[in-house]
Amino acid sequence: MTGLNILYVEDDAMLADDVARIMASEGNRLTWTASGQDGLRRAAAEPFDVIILDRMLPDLSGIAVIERLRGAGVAAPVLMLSALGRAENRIEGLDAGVDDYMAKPFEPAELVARVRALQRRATGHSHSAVILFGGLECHVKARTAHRDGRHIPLSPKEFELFRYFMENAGEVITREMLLRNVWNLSFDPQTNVIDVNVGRLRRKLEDGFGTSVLETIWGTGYRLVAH
Amino acid sequence: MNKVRTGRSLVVPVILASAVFALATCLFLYLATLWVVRSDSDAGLAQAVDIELAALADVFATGGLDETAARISDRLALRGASGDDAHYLLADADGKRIAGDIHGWPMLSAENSQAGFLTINGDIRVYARATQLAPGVSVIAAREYGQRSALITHLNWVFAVAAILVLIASLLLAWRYAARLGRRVSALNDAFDAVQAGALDQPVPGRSDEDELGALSRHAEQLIGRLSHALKGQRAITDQVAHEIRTPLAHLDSRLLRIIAVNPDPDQVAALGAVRRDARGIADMLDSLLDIAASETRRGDRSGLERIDLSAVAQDVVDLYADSADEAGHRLSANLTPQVMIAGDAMQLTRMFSNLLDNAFKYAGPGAGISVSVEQGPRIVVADNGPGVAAPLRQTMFEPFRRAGPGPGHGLGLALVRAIAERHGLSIRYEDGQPGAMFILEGERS
Repeated sequence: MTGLNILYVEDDAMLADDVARIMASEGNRLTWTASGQDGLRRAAAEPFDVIILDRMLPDLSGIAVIERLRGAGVAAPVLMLSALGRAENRIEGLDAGVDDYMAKPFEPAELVARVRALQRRATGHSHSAVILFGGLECHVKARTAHRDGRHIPLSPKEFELFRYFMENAGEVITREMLLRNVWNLSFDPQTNVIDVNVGRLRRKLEDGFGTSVLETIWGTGYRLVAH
Repeated sequence: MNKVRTGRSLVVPVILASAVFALATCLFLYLATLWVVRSDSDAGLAQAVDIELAALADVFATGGLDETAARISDRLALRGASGDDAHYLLADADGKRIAGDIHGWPMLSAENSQAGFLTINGDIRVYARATQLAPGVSVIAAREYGQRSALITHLNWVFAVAAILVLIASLLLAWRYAARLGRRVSALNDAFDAVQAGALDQPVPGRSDEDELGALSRHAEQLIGRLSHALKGQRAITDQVAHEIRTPLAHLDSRLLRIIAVNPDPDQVAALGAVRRDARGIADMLDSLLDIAASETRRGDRSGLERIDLSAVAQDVVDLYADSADEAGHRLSANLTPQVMIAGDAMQLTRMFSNLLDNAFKYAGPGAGISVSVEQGPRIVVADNGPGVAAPLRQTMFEPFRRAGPGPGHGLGLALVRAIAERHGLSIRYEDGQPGAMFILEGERS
């Protein structure tokens, strides 16, 4: 995968430096600007793969920036990276047109995973009727799962979870991504519901096959792997 | 919406009062007119009768009895032609008729020139006066007052028609006025409904009017303005606090990550990881506190609430927790009446159920039965058969930072549950399930 061209609008130089290093380590190119106006100007002038946007900018709120971007027809996926991290704040951001929302402080691996997921979604690799990965098959219309040609019975929610992993196969998926995209939740329950639900899916996908397909990335999330 | 039933509207008494006033005015005018007409007609009769008598007295003085009798006969003969309604009696000392058409001497004293209303010849109602022309000669002149009765009948008709017209006119006017008043008050009520629904920046209708309702509109606008200002201020300070605390926490996290990146000692890396989690915990606690504050501020505010299926929300949460319950050895059951609807925020209600289940999972102990029920009302019960909440904690358990024991969390879960419940018009209470904890949430009557 070639590196992404990313615009980061952030007035905090220290965080900007962090994000620049995180993105560079993944082979991406990051353009940093410290003001909303300048961000708007650059986003309009150059096509970026992903835009990362702070919310409380000195000149213009991130919400106003996204509204103007969308108004101007800039369709690049936008991730809002904000110090306002309550469920209400997230919903406001998503309603204003951002594609994903993360609170500071953030886990670097989570940021990388979500930026990549945004770019994948934007380039539309994952909307086929049958998704194949390794020995796994996800029949989106029939809502069935197979491994090595064998049907694996899944509950409706397990299928949703499976499909999300298949759409993002080979990529790191964080708990928060699962909460938001599979369960549509903007808060993190105290009980370990995500781990347990993923664990159950993993057993269904792996029991009787000998090799694991769903690996846990400690402290970050999960990844569907091919063998 | 605070709708007013038609019969209870403030315009109804206005319309009724105006109708009653119009009718009372008509009645008063009618009675006054009747009195004036009667007095006037009585005076006219008396005058006509007195002139007749004076004329007859003159005739008697100049022409004597025969001439007087002849004159009375002439008058009676001419009566039909002139439309006159006069009656006479010329009688001797015994009351025997000499001339005239009155058959017998009525109860009038000629010596005293008595006058009065009486009936003659059986059924003719007249005003009459008797007088003595000479010793042994008396005369009575009388006038019918049938004309007056006709006038009064006429008057009755005129007033009846006038009363109906005035009543209709006053009802129409009152209706128009009341409808206008009603519209203005309704517009104010609509404005308040809009405020309830979250539209705090809209102008209040009628604030430029110079009457009492205009003053009321201006008062309302000032108060709504203050409320809006307070809410915006609260929101701004909330965002600012979050920003000012989370930003240094992000810097702290960034510095820790930089140290971890160059530190080869696994023990130190683990310790620094714990520091990062602690810092994350501060941010989470801050968010929970701000969530509680936001929910409390918006108590009774219906903006952003949609009609949603509470049972479906509960079912989703129970489904989400089912596997975790299996793993922890809890028996999780749901008893949900389908389609219990509520004006709510689905995410917040999900969080409310989720926090209650987190609580049960945390404290009910292994192998506990945990149940969620939703029924009409709405009435929600989340219960378990664990040890329940210790008596001293029950009073304060819904306050922030109250924890039942060690373990993760800041003791904000139940405080947030209560804040969300109250935002949705639900009251929450704890009951001893004997054994176990029972959290009961019920719709408050609004």
